[in-house]
Amino acid sequence: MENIYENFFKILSEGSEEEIRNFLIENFGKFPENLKRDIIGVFFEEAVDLAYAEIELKKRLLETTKELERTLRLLEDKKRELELKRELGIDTEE
Amino acid sequence: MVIESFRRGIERKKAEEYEQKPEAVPPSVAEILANPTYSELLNLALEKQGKDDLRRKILTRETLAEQDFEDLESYRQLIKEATEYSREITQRLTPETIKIIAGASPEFNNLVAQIGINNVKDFLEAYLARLYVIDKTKFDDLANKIEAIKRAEQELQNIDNSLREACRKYGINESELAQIYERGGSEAEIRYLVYKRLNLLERIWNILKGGEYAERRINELNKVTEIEGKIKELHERLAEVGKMIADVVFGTEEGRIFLTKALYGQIEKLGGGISFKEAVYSEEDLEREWEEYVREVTKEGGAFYGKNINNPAVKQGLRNGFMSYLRRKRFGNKMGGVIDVLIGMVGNWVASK
Repeated sequence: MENIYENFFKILSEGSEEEIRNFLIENFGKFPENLKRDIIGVFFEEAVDLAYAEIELKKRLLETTKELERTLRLLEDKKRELELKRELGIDTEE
Repeated sequence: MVIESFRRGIERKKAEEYEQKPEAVPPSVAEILANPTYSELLNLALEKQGKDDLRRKILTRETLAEQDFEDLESYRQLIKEATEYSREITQRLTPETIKIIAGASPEFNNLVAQIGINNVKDFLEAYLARLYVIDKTKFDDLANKIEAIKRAEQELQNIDNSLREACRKYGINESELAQIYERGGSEAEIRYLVYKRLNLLERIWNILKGGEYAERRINELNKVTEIEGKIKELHERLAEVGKMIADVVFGTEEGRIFLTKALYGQIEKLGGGISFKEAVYSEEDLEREWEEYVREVTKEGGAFYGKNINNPAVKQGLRNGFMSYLRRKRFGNKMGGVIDVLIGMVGNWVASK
């Protein structure tokens, strides 16, 4: 009969990180409740970190875009102001 | 409102009761010892603080000293807090919040699909109580992040829509993004690309916050050509930010994960602990450790084990002892996460022998 723990330690010593993680997910249903709890916990902690980082990044990107757009508007207004002054003959530009 | 004031009333009553007689608030030490979930938390707390003597006394039902009772009272408080706070967090985890969290990790998403979204809380409550006992700082960090995700839940749709709009505005589309990742090829190249982008975002952010484009400075500009140069520069920066938005919002699954992981890596090392691969242990290593452990233990208490080896509690004690022995030998005082999964596997491996 297949011994899941023997298989786990075999993959742990021979497989890659991704293979170990896949093994835990694919065989999740075969583990007892206390191990299922710890496996869920590990992946949950990571998922919370990722979700949090993703939200923070989205907010930062949005804020940066808005700030850049605001600055762009200020520059365009200033440009229009200088062009108008030039048309009116009160140009300060050399 | 009525429910809230009722809840507060109960809490106040509990607090008053506690002020007068702390030991009256459950769970009592006796309840902790009789309940497998609580006694697992107690065992963990004792192991974390190296209270091997008290652990042994409890296991062998030895008479406790006065100091032991005092220690047990502080562990009782810890367990009470752990169960209350972990319940508080899981109550905040609605299916919508779990969906957002699962959306950030295909692996966790797969597990949620296996156990069903409504059962996630049951698994997490016990896990979080353990985390509180072994690493309160990590528990608090996790609680704060979950709270931030909860707060963003309402505005997330708006943020996503605004980002999509910004993306369309700056001419970035999905196919362009796909090209970025197809071109990259290896994980290392993609990671480099993402880091470069994120560094640029930080740089743009610092320029904006550092006042390089402050209103006062813009007012000081008095040459159209100079302003045109700045406008061009800003368009280029917006295009860069647009590309980053495309990565996040329209990103391929792989690209999005890399991006988020990379961002997280800039703030704090991913996972904060160790990877499975770092915890490597072969079955041969385990066999050797087990034999060594049994030899040591039976040398110390040979007569006791000889007499009681078939007693299930003694067998369980040996198994727990081996788990602690290995944890300490291999990981020192570290607990939680990947280490707990590995040690749990060790415990089940021993039982399966």
